[in-house]
Amino acid sequence: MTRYVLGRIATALGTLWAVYTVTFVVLYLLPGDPVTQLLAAGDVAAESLSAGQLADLQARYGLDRPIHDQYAHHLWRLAHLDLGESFTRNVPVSGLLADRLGPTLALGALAVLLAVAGGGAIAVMAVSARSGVARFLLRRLPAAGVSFPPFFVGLLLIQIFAFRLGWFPAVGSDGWRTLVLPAVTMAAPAAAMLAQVLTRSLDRTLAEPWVVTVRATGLSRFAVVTRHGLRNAAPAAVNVLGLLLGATVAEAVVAETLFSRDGLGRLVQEAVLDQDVPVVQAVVLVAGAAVVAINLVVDLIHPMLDPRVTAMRRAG
Amino acid sequence: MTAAVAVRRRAGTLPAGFFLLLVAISAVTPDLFTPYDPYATVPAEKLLAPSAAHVFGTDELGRDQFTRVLYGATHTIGITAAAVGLALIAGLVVGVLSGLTGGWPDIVVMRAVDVLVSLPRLLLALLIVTAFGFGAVPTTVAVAAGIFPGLARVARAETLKIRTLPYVEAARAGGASWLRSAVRHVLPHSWAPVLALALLDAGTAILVISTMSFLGLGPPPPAAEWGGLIAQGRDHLVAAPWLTLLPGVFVGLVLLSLDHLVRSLGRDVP
Repeated sequence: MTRYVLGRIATALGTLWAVYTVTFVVLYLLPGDPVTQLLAAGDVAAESLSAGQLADLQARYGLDRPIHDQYAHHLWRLAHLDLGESFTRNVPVSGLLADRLGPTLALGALAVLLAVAGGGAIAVMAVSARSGVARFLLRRLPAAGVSFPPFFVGLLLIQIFAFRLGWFPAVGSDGWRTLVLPAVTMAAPAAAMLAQVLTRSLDRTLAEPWVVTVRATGLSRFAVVTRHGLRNAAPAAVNVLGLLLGATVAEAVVAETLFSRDGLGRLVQEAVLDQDVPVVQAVVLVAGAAVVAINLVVDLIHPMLDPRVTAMRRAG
Repeated sequence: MTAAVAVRRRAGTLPAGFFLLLVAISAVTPDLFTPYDPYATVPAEKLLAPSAAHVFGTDELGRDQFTRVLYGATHTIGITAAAVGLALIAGLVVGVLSGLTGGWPDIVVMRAVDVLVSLPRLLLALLIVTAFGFGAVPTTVAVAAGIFPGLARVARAETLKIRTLPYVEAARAGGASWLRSAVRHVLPHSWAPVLALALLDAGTAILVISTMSFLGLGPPPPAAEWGGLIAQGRDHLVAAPWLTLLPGVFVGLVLLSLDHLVRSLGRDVP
């Protein structure tokens, strides 16, 4: 087991390094000079600056050094959690991240809770409903949930719950009330995905012969689903949940932009518009690190949820 | 399973396919479906509710919203087709070659693909447009980069299954070169599942493209992509909710039809 855990941790660190390398190659190595891009975003033509000014800018961000030197330098800084300085805000990127991480985590946490509750409820109802129409609708609902763009879902929520009913504010980041609509926006596609996977897994479980035995002992269909079905569906659900958690920052980009909330998502959206290369790189790295960490956790708890995994490994 | 069986097996497949066909045609020749000019402003007819003359109503400058959705399709469908095509070619080449080669090159390539898979698609796309700008070509590359790793994985898995089959061995023994056996014998049998996945990815591509233009990274005005149209309606949510609602439902229907079609073609998709 120790060997397994250490192996997974080494793989995770390797993946993180590779993610960093991908961001570096795309942003610094491929054609397209960051300084020219930055000036273009500020509506300044690179030609209007003297060669000396350009060289100064290049030197300021270390872009005049050989590429392997830059790579090593960046990696060394990263190992010390120094992510450089923002091109447009002139503050350290790590400080920006620290400020914006909290709101995104709060939003993501609420969204995941809602997604688990919503997705689980839809799946359980879909397999235990008696009426054919209800079963059909509950099974088709998730497909619709993943088909509508998340920002459209968000706009609908604003239209209904902010403008018509006035229950929650449409914009802002202060207080718990501002958290609700963006969290539901993020949770809707996630709940739909979770419901699809859970429904399939529950269907498979309910088709197994032992279910007949359990039912014969007098357990209702609903009880079979909640007591036995969900436990069997847990490994598949944890996989999907891992995917969803890893995508939190990406989902937050839309929700935070739509609801004008402070957070990592809106930070990266603004940084892309301003061509603020270090900030974009940093947020992508944070998102990558989140994915890697969550995959690691999923790998580690998988054997606990499904004893068959360890048993099969022992049997070789 | 043949397409005919698939159509009979599931209700709604025919309408879904027909709708997608219409959308595809309207992307090529939008003027066939509407008499209006998408950029002609008619201040007297601003923010009209949907009617027989203006099916989706008109926007704040009096432009016909349905016309704008149709012309937006040219952008969305064009980039989607280009991105999926690009990812399909790259995925097949990388997947088949990697699977056939085996050994350490295969391991290295597939580890790289794993890394790309682990990055959320939207963030990968944002990374690429930051480096190359917001035009149509960078957007295409950005969307293709998110789709390609999944296709490469499936192509490789199919190749691994096929390359040990006796007929491939026979071809090699009969003197077919390595490249010839890849192109003539492995590729024709490995692309079907890859194509099914690519069709599903077209839906993801549409979502990513419209999300990018919602974030302000789409084509510059007055051109409008679906995501941009939905986002612009935001300013008129109270006075003219149809400006957001109808294009949004339209995009949802396109994606729902795609999803339905792929499932009907008999592939178990997640």
